[in-house]
Amino acid sequence: MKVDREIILIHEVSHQFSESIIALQNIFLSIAQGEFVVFLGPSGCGKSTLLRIIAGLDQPTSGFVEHHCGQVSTESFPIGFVFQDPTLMPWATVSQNIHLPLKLAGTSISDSQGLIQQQIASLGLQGFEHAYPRQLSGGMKMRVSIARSLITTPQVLLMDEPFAALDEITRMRLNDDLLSLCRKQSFTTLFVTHSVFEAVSMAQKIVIMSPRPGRIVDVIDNTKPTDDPEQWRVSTEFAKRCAYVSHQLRLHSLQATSEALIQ
Amino acid sequence: MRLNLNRYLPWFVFLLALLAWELLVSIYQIPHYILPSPRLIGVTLIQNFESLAPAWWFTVKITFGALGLSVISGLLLASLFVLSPWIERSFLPFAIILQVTPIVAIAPLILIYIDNTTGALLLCAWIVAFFPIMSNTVIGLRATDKNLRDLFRLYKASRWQTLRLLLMPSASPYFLAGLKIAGGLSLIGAVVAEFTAGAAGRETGLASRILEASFRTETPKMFAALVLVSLTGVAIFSLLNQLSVFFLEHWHDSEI
Repeated sequence: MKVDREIILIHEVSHQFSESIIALQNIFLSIAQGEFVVFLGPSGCGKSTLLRIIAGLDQPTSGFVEHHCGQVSTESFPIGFVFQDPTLMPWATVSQNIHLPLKLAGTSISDSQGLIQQQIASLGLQGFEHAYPRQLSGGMKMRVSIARSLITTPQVLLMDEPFAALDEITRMRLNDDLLSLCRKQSFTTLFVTHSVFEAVSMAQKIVIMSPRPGRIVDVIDNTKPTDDPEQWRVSTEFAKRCAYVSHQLRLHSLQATSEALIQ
Repeated sequence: MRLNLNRYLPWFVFLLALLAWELLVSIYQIPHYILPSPRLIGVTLIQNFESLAPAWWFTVKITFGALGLSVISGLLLASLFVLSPWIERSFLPFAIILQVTPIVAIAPLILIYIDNTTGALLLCAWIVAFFPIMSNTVIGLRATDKNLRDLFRLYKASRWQTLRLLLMPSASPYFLAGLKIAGGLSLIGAVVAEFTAGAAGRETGLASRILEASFRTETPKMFAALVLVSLTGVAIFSLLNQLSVFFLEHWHDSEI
């Protein structure tokens, strides 16, 4: 499944908000096509900032990000972005919200009906086409948000703590659905979270980040013995992996604190 | 049953108040030049309809003219202010000065500088009405979801697309709230300006009728004109309210 073709290269990226606040320091990371990479770290470690820089929403103070998304047709847009909030337009229906990226590219809603229906079906939103966001639950809103980001068939999907505000049960179901979508449509996913459990259950590669200054402290290979997420979650190997990642996270954050104290 | 009561209660109380008024006037035999009874006001309204109707139409024209100008200029200024902090910093003081200076104090000056009475009245009513539209729209445009803005940027939306598909809908609840205030204010502005202008000029509105009647101590006629002003105000309010419901009922918490 994994193709070793590099799709994103983050080269020596540093980002500074002010002279004293270094959000990111010397980030170097290569991401292969089709990979599911999870960025894990405590708040303030710059993981969201890194995602925004990769999306081109912010410019790094130094360094650069290279995209090798290849030739893209007019229909498709190389990057999809899912925010922590569903970020839907409250005045527009589910269909209209999902249609937005195509509308901005100049395709009318009637010409996009096929693609919209496809997204609605693959995210289980049937029957809600004409509902307004306020009528939906948090999980459903997030599904609409994901459908909107996937309608352009992006090669890279960036997700900034998308399920942080959801309850455990909804979150787990969305985790599983996202994984199966990734497998079917084989896009590259960069997923930010502060949950060890979520990271281990989703990732192929876990990038551990540490704050002040925000940097990558460890990259853990998280190859899963099975494709079935439920089976993976109940295995002893999963528990061990969680314990290991947790331990690494704590180790590095302790180090960061003591370094900060020495400085 | 409860629903019906809720619905008719305001009308019932209103009729009761009119009845009390009528009784009060007849019991204490209050002379009509001090306080006319509601019945007399009604009769006066019908009898003087021929002179009151054109005056009413004139006031309505000024009111809606000023409201229309306020909408155009309020939206335009708000967009300019949001686009450029420089423009806002330069021109906001003027807008505030216009807003805080009582219109009765400015109206005589405007009447000196503008020969055309209709134009002067329009200007006065506009000064009172445009501010709530402008300031509300500025807040609405600023309150646009930051993430949605980023999303539009990510998909390389043009300025026009961002304005039409994002800024305008998200500012619309604020704009409509401003419009409701401005509707009432433009009527007040039109009437106040006309009071200051006096009965001069060929075309005159309801305020002139009230002034005229007061010179002749025709109190019932004053009340009749006043009733028309109030009814017009109520009609404007409910019209704008309907407009707000129409645009917001599907999605905005204020109208659900």
